[in-house]
Amino acid sequence: MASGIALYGGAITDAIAGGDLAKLQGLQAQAEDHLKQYGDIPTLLALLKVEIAKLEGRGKY
Amino acid sequence: MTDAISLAPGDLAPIAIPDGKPVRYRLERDYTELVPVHVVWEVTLACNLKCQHCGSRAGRPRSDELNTAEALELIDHLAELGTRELTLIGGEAYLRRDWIELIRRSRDHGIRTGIQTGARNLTDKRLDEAAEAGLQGVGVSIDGLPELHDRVRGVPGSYAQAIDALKRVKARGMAVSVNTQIGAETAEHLPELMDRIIEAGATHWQIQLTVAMGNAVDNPELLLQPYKLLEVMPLLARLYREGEARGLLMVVGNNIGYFGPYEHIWRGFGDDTDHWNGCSAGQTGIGIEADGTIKGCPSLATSLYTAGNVRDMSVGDIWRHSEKMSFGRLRDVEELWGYCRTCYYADVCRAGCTWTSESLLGKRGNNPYCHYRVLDLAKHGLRERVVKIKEAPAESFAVGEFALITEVIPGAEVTPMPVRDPKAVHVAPRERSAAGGALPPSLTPCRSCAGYIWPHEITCPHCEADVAQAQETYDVDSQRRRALIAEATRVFAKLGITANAGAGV
Repeated sequence: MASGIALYGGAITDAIAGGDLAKLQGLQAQAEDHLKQYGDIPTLLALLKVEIAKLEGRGKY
Repeated sequence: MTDAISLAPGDLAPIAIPDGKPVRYRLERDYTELVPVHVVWEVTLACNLKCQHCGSRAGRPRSDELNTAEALELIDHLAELGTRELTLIGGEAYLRRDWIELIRRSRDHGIRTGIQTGARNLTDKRLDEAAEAGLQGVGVSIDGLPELHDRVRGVPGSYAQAIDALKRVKARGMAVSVNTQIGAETAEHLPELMDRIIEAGATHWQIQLTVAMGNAVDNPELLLQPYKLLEVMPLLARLYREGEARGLLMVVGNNIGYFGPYEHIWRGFGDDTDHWNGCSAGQTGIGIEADGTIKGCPSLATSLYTAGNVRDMSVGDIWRHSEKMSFGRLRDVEELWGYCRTCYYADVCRAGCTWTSESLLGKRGNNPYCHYRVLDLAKHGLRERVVKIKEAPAESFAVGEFALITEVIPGAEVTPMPVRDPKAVHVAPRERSAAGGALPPSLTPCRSCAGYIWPHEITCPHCEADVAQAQETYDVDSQRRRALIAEATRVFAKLGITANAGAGV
């Protein structure tokens, strides 16, 4: 049940944001940090495949 | 009410606070077994600020404040009743010579202990002693940017001292929070104030409205007009989200609400099953004045809500038997009046903060500071404002009176307010425990519009959605989200990616 915040009292200082939204946002931030540090491997992989396909397709005619 | 609360501390059901929730979080057993979870104690009325809005008219100490032995005994008794958190206030708590002993005794009992302060002359020596005694949190009151804060607090330079205190508290490893009152001039200060308190190290920010009591009645221009909630509430919602992303958790006080479009974000810190469930005075909270006066809430008017004095009766007996303490346990919708009497949320909201409504209009049970109400009125081209009609006496916690005026919003088209039948108001069944407590009702958010609805609703009265169908869709989405969270967490763990700290840490 809600905590009840008495108006002459101090703020709650031992509550932490939770719930799905906070977790998803946290994971997004982690993913973005990782990409910044290591780069975007799925996109690199896709590009590699495209270039490989181009080279393998040469000289067939 | 029976005399059945004679439980020894060990008789109370064990406490299991859910993860991420504060120790002040109310459990069902707190209501049924009547546990004063959070106690706010004015340990002295002596103060070194001159706040224009001070409800207690603090300044000089009371003539007969509790001595050290009496104060320590009181803490022991609160521990026996199951108190989990104690906030020491004033006046200014550290102007009491034995304040360190009180902190130490509270901490010896394992009670979470903090102070709320104006922070003027909160010296390093005082902070070091408090930290050593086990003080866990320091809340600093800051009412706006420097010019406004210094003016409202009555002392030039008080803003600078307050911000500096935040940093010094943070440096000592204690929890740092800020309380800000919203008055007539505050709203435009809030965004920049939020930047500054984040920079100073605050992790939690309590927001509340200035209430018409004591000095605030002498200075009515400080009060926010009720209709201003139309602008203030969306601003607070925006700041909540921005603050959360930056590690600051906004905590709305009991007079911010109720059941408007943002209710689902105000009280659960991400858990939208938590909503406003009524004033907890005398049910799960106690307020204490420096001379041993006991009330159900620290801010209630002394003249109307004194439940007893610890020099005459133990706090346990006052808690169990005083009529002025038990009003919150026994009240019902019949005490509501005006708009609140026929509101959809009457039986759960009970006109919001008792202190706010009673101090303003002279009788509790009707509260114009309500987002749901303000929006409803605005839909019909109407708004409410308050005008002082009676001064407050010179005593601490004295109230005056304000008239509530309903007027047309300039330029708006007026349509009549619907006539609502008091008999049609839903009253939730309440089972009273042997101890005399009862659980407040629990509403659920409509999964289509997020408005809170009574459990019996099949069609949402706010958006007309099929409640069960909306819930089914929500459950499917929720399952998908949680699977994604679990998968992402698993993958990141394998990659050695660590989590960032969330808001409030």
